[in-house]
Amino acid sequence: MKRGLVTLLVVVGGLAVVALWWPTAVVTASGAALTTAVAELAGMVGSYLVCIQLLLVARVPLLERAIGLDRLVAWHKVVGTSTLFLVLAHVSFMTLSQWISNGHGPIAAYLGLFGLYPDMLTATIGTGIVLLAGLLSAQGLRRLLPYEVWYWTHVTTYVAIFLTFLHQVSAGPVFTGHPLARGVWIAMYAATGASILFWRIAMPVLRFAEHRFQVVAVVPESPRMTSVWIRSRRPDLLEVRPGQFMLFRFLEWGHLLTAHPYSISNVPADGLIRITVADLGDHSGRLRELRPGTKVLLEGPFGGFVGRRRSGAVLLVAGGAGIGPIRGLAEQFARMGRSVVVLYRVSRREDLAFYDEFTGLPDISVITLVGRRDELGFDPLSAESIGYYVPDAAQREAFVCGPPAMIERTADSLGQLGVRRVQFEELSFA
Amino acid sequence: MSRRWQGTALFAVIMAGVSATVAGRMLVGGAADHAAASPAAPKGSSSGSSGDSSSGSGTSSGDTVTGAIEQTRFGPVQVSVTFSGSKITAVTTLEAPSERGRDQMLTEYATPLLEKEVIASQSARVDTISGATYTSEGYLASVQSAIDSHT
Repeated sequence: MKRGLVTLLVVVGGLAVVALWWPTAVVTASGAALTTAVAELAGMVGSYLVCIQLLLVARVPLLERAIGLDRLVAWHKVVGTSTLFLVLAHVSFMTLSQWISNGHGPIAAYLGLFGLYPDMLTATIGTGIVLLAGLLSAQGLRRLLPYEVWYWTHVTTYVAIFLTFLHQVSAGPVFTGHPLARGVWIAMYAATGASILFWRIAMPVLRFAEHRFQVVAVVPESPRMTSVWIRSRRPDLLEVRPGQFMLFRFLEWGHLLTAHPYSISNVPADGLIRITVADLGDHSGRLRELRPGTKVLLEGPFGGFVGRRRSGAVLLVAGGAGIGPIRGLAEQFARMGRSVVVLYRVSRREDLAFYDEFTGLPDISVITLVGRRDELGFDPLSAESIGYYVPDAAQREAFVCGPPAMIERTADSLGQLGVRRVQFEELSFA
Repeated sequence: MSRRWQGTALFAVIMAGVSATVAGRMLVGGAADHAAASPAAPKGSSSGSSGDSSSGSGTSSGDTVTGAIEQTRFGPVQVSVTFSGSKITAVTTLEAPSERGRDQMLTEYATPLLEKEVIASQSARVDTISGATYTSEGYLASVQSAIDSHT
């Protein structure tokens, strides 16, 4: 319902953009005029979607509550793809129209645009950066890159968008000589910029001023996994539940420049929250070297991997590092008096984390599924295997957290077993 | 549909919408804005916008009268009007904005329409061309000055 409403608003905004273009447009049956018109409109709609793109990830509380960060990020990816194509269409059709009217080939046509419109150099640089950032986010390529590279190309995008904004208001025929239309456009970008500044920069800083988050302990849980405990000075203001995640920016060299999403792995109490992270050979590995006392900026909490029901038996399935959020959820559900079964899947015995902690929680039954599939000769997360370990699986509400492939297999198995309520959390969604 | 192609599909839908809008805009033509555009009826070269137009208020050479140069936001506009007796038979554009590609396109688009209108109404009291308001106003003011100096 709320999602439909937001979608409707975005579409109405798009129509408003068309309404802005309509009165000043000059469209005749000539090839140059038609391509120019298509280029202008594609550029304007693309530019509008750039603002939508930014607002989707600006952490606007209203959107976070109505839609949730994980879904917003999914939308951001979908809208992002079409925005990139619209920018490409704008450039291509502008070039094409010049090519048609001058006939000196595409490169001469593109360079010809520099003489016709102001701010074309900044627009070209900005567009180049935006396209690069989009390309690096493409599936496949994204996985090959360090998080830091992806993160910083995205941050640079803000500057790039400003560079392209200049040519929109100075060269856009809809805006030159039409102060009202130009005012609307500038207001749209100003509002977007203000949202980002406020919710992505000012809010974390204000929250820090209140909570003074700092690292109090770093605990190795297994050769690969590390827990970081963080304390808030104002426990009464801390509203975060197990299964949710926050964005953490540790204020120390080597960590300062990027914010990372990590799931909460305890039931936060007394202002203490814990994250438990597997070493993936990047930033996550360096968490082990954090010193107690390190200050932390936090954004969030985000995510709806928390369950809506208050009662009934649950089945929690963790794959590898997915144990972090599952650990927090298990304790929370046990305290609610719900019957809890945890299936904990790891490839090697030494990767098991929290084993002692779980045995200290008597109401939770933990079943570890250890070993690689080729060694075991079967898949411990097949329907048959899960049905064997958890005979009453179909009566339970299920929560699955782990790597994407593991989630997919488990979802299949749970479906075969007739489990109707299943919630998923992918470990690397951002 | 798999999530992978959703962005591409969205783009395809938007481009279809853009193309349809452009086609619709072409079919509607200049009429869309006519209600909004002030019917430009320049009252000779003395009207407000042409205050800084050059003083050469039309020089008569036979039946062709050169109008005043009107300064517009996008550059000067000047026309010559050909009369047969007191009847306007042709309007020739001597100068019009053409510095930027779009200006040139607008000029090529607007001036023939304006000429037709001027001949049809035998006056400079015709509607401006939507999207080319400034050029139209300059054009019509120059026509008016030519008419003024012919009579």
